[in-house]
Amino acid sequence: MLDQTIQSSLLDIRGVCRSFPKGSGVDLLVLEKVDLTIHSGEIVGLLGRSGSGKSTLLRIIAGLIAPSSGDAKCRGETIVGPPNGVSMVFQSFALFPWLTVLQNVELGLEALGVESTKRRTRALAAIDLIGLDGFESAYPKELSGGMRQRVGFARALVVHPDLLLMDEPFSALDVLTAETLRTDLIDLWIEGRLPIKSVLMVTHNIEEAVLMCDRILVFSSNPGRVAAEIKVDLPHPRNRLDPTFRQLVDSIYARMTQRAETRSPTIEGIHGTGVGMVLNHVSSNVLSGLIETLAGPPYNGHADLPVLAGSLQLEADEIFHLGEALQLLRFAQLSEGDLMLTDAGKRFAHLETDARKKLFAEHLINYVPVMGLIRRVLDERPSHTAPAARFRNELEDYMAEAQADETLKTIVSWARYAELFAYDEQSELFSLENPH
Amino acid sequence: MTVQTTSPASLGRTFLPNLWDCIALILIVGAMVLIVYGGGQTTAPLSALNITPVSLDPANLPIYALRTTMRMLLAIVCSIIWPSPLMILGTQWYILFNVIAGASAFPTDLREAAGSFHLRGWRWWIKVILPGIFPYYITGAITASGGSWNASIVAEVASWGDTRLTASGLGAYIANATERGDFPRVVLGITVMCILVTLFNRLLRRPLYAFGERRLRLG
Repeated sequence: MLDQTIQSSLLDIRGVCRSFPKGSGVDLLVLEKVDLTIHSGEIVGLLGRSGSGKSTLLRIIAGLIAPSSGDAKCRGETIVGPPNGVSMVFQSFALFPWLTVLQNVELGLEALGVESTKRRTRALAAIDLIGLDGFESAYPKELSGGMRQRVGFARALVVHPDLLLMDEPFSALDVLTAETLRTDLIDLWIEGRLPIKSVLMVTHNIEEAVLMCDRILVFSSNPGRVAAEIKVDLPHPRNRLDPTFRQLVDSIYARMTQRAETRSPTIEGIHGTGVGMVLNHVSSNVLSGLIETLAGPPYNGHADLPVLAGSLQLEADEIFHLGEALQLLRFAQLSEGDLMLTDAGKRFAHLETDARKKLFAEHLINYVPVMGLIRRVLDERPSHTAPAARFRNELEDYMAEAQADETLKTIVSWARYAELFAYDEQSELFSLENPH
Repeated sequence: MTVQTTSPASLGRTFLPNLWDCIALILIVGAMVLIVYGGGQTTAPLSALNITPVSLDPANLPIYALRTTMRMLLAIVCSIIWPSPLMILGTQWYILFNVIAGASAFPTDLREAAGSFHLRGWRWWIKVILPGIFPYYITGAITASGGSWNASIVAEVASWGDTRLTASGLGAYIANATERGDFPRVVLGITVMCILVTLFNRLLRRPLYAFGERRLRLG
């Protein structure tokens, strides 16, 4: 017999972990002991930065990948393969280009064995509901991004799922289209016209999460785990300019930057040398530009992250990457949702190009362990050259292949700007010779 | 201000083959051996069929051209089940490798969508994977048809020791005329082949390709 809590919840995730194999043979943990329960009638958001494992969790729930350990149950039954009563909306729409809108929408019903007249009626109803009337015989290629995602929604809704999974459904759309689609969806949800019980959505957009969700789980990265759970009690439709709304967005920003602060030292603590730090590529031009912006008015060295993101038209995720890069290089300090220039950062803003490069090089050597390592190896070798593969292997002991790629790319780009060492794309060699 | 989000180049990646590469290599070499062996088997009955020399009478040219065309179409259409006239041996690979490329390039999100909507069995084949690799099949078939016109000249006349196998067809016509140094007939044969290639191109290849591009091309 099922006990009461399991019966009343749609989805029950207990202690789910997931790891992926990595170059060095040690697995990379992307999800660590995640608990999540979803009840009827709520929209739950998984909010986190890229690489926090939130999409992986969604795929475990969709039955597309299996958890490495832990317990994932849908309506009391352990998830093995795609469960009934769960359907998914994809970031990339994932429509079949050889099927018309109507055929795409009918496909899920066909697989469920619904007979053809009933299938047609239900598909047309879903198309009607989601505002695709008149496009039934169009092929996906003929539609705009917004209309394609509407097909994605219709296809997911037509099977009348209990739980609708959405994987960053608005992030491939332009700002206006995304907002229209969000409000349309929320309107249908409030009016009770969606044939679903609950929604679980993955997003990295803080405002989107606050706008749509009743409950937000904030994920931390490396490995992904639930860092906080935030209830959003604001009534729908929500106003982005409402002070309470802004306050909530600010507090989530602050919480996510707090995470970033406590994270850096733990990575060094675990790996000792700090060589295993993942470096996200940010162009040195962008970094100098940001330092200049921060140094000038109205910020004068101190900016509120949401305000800064708004004025530079950046996503939360992007501004975090930039802020963290500056913090790593000790040109700025992130805390409580603010970004403050350090003395070195202020100095950088007022220097000429050559002096900037020198300061940048100094900070790279001092604060980015892998840069110091490469420079040391190059200095020690008589040939003053070293193959990239030598450092890639070392990086892959700590991180996945894609992250090692990104880190190497960052190393090359920053080292070129700082004129620390050179890299030859053809031979894949680092060297000390600097063509002046 | 824009943030750089270009995908990182694979710096310093090693080129050593992994376990899967080895398994794939063994499978492909195995397939090659099988086909050559299968091809060898079929030459025996062929020798009994056709030892008569090809007539160089231009009046026979239409029927020869038709035979070569049919042979080629058969080679392309039937390539999935690998029957084994000699021409197929030459054209098989274009199609096989294109189809393999198509299957491995099939987008992950479509695979996931098919899985999450419970598409299985024949429905999965018909609605998902076959349309997905069809453009690649067409590309392979077009390349193969180009190759097989050339191949027909060689393939329709084959010698095995003292046995000379000749299938009557346009390729054999050109091959025989070349062998005898009959210049006007060589020109005639090549002209007919050019016309056929053009017709083939216009009537079959382009519409198929356009269909594949319009309906089935991914992304």
